[in-house]
Amino acid sequence: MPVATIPRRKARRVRLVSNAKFVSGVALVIFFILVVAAHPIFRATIWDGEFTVYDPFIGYDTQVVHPAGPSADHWLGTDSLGRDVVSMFTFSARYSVAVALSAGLATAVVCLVLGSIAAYRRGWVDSVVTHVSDAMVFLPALLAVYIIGVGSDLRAFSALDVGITFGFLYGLGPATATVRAAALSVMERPFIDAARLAGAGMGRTVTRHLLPHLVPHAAVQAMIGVAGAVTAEAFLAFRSGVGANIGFGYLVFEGLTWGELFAGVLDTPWWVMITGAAGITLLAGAFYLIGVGLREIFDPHSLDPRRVD
Amino acid sequence: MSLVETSEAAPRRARFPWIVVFLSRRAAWALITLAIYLMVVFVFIQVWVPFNFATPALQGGIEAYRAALESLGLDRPLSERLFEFVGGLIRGDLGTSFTGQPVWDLISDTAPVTIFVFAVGALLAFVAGEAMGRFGAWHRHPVTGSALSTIGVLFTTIFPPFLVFLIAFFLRDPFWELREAIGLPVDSLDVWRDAAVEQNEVLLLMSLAFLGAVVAGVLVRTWAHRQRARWVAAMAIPVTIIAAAAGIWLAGFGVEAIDLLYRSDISQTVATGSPLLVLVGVVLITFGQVMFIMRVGIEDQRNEDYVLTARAKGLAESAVRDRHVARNALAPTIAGSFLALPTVIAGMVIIEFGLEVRGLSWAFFNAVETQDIPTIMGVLVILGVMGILLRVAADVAIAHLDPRLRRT
Amino acid sequence: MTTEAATQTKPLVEVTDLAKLFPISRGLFRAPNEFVHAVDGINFEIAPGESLGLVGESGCGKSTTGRMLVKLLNPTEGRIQVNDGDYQRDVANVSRSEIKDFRSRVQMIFQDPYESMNPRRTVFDTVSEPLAVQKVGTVPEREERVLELLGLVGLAPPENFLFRYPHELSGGQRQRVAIARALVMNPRFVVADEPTSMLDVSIRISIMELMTELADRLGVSYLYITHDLAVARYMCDRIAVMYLGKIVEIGPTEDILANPRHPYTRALLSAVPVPDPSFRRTPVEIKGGISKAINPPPECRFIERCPFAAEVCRENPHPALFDVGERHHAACYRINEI
Repeated sequence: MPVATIPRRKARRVRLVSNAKFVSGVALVIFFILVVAAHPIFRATIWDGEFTVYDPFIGYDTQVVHPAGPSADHWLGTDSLGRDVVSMFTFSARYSVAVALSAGLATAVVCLVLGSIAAYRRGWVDSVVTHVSDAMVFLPALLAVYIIGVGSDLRAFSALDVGITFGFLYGLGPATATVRAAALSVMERPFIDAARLAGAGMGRTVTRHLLPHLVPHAAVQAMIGVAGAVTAEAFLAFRSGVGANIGFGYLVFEGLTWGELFAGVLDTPWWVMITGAAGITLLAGAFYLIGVGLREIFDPHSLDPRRVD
Repeated sequence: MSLVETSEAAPRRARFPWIVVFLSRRAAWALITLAIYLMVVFVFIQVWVPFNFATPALQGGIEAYRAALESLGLDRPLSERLFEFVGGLIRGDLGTSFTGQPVWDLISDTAPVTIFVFAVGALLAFVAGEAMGRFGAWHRHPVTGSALSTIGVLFTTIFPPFLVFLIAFFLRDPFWELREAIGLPVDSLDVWRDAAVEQNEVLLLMSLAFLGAVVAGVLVRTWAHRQRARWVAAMAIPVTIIAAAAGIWLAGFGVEAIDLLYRSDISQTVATGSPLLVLVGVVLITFGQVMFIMRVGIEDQRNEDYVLTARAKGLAESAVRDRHVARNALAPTIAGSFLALPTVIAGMVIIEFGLEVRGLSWAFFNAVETQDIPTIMGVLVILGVMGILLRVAADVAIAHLDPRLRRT
Repeated sequence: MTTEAATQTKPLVEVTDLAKLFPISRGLFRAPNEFVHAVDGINFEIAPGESLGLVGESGCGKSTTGRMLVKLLNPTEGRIQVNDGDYQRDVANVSRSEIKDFRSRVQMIFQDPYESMNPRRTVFDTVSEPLAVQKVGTVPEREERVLELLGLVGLAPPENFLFRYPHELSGGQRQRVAIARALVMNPRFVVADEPTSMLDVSIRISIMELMTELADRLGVSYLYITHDLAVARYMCDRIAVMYLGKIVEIGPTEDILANPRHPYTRALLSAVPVPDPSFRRTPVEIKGGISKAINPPPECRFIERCPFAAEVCRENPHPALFDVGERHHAACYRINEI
């Protein structure tokens, strides 16, 4: 009687952990989650007080001239309105992370749904999806979100709105094109035929056979989308200034207005700007690293034009 | 069994070079995609956005909202607006801006700089990213690999206004000093006051010359490889670019061309930004993405059997890497890099505006601030056209590299 | 290898003038004027409990035929009639509401044991999928059935295999799982598309033995697609030889092997090695390599390579199948001379 043998093959999971980009990206994301969690903890402990100097909205330290540079009391200094920068950073992380998560979800959902249906149905459905996603590549989601955002009352345009809008627009473009190509390759594999032979229709085939194989590709696209979304939201806040929700972009606005950008002037509270810019870059970078790391492991063929059709 | 394998007759030699049929197919694709893109832009600006543009006016009541819509030209029936849009496009008319100027004038005024920066920047970024991906991925040196990756990620995800700040802070003064050292007058106006040509004309000339030089260089290089003239092939592209530059100089536009790259205006009546600095910014934000995609391609190819064969034949590592593996990884890299286009365009627009270069970004941001719908649409249309042309060029490049794709 | 079902006079599967043409697109707007004649008007029957071997080189159309029989592809022309007691259907006419019933009667075993199972699903998921789709039984009942089948295909003890993943199985084991999946709904007819060609030679025989035994036990008929005559000999009651989309010879296995009448069959047989150093024979030479069946000319498909090609072959269309013996036919004008 045959004995079951287990061939030696390095599991994808092991390769994930050994990929430096993926690991550092995850580490950074964890860092930001900790930062988000830190704010309420700090407020409850170190920054305790009825009228606390560390309130991200109205805190004002009467002992110091504002804006003040980094010091023992204010590790990242204060802005021109007297607010402690560390507090603002930990507080605004929440908004930016919310944008990131909602954008990632939106991108993933859009590209998975469209990519899988287009690959399964082929024919005119595939044509339409391909052409639309080809066209959407030329409309940068950042600019589109910017156009929407500028006219809006930004406080009503919440993190979720920004994230989902960006994710939706980005997802329709490059993300769907990539996932569709991957889905087409999966559809060529015999186990899809086998599923059809078992009587599986579109629903079952797509959900149980196609989608599981597309998740890594969609994850890559989602991560790259998130990086874009964080930047888009920050830019929107940066340009909208006072009306914006407090996110990292707002910090940059605080530290440096448009006009001062070009002047490259350092009289401005550069510590505020750097904190904001660093926050944006690191958060976007974290997700981008995860995406690129995932792509190295799962996705080598997704970019190959020969693999399509 | 017979020892000789015969086959059916060889395929007929095509009457035209493959590129003719290929381009006509891509032209059809381009037109369809452009049509869909224009519809998307139209729906986006005329249907989606107005809710956002006019909603703040709601606070003043329904009347104020309607008035806002009217001033935006958005109260007219959708079909009427659609006819106007499409009709205008067919005539080549992009409508009239709310400021009274025809949109086309605004765009033709500002687009050349952006086109120049985009074309040159994208190409340079691709070359740099591809080279870094190639070297970094092949030799697997842990330190350089990580360093390159880190720098790549950093510049890809850096907050664009912050990058603008860094460029302005670190590079602008040295650039101005360099300008003086070359011998250009301090004020750009001095250069252009007596010039016989328009700035935009020179910019377009520079763009075309650069692109033409690259295409010519690639063709010469391909021919040289077939003739086994290794050195000619290696020098082909640099030589053509230098030739193009020399051509511009000899045509008498040399000083103007260099000035355009640098720009300096004390009187501040002309935008003071330097397109060269924008170029630096564009290359910085793009090279990383290309590098990562190239790296994936190389990693994918390096395990193929033909690599083993090449080494066994005695080829030097660099030859295996460059002439075989990199060449095969190049087509997917072009295709993959293209998917990063929206991020590049967005970043370019922000950097250009931040560095106060009067290009498409200037038209765009002004239009958005003032809710100038025709101009917003016009800019998006032009960006789309630029992108589609680039895509067709990229497809030609991919098909040139991989003959299997010439039939599509 | 026939069972008592042979008393039923109607054949289980009746294929009439079956054809599949694939268009080669020429341009953006032009209608295709070139077609690959993958399958070009074939006829055969399979009696209940019988197994028919479909033999030929790569590209002759055998896989395409198989896929049409299980409705993974739709024929361009022709009829595939399935007669299973009360169930009488033309496969092409099976509607969407009837497809699940059809799939419980006609099944397929694929060539690639590595790719025909979803790598992310367990053996239980894979084998029970037809049951799940048809909503047969409760989950525990399905487990019972799967265990029963795993035992039947020789995977013992079945419990050990139930929740394994494909990558934890060897090629032979995977193919047994594939057989189990094909049989889970008790089909009458199974198309086996080269099920052993990707397996190690040493385990091919055990898989073939398994399939023969199951055919006997369960009364299943096979269409066994292969390029290997030795395998066809072992597995099949009858053999049909295909070339470029046409059946050139069909008949009982032993008859064809002892007395091949078509030049192509003869060439195939003369290439089969015989493990007897003293065995001598004159090899039948056929020229060249296989050509593609794109818009083929009307005369005999084999004419370019046939060592016996003559005037009669050039002047007439591709020959029909002539009688050469007891249920033995060959498509050649010169069968009486060569």
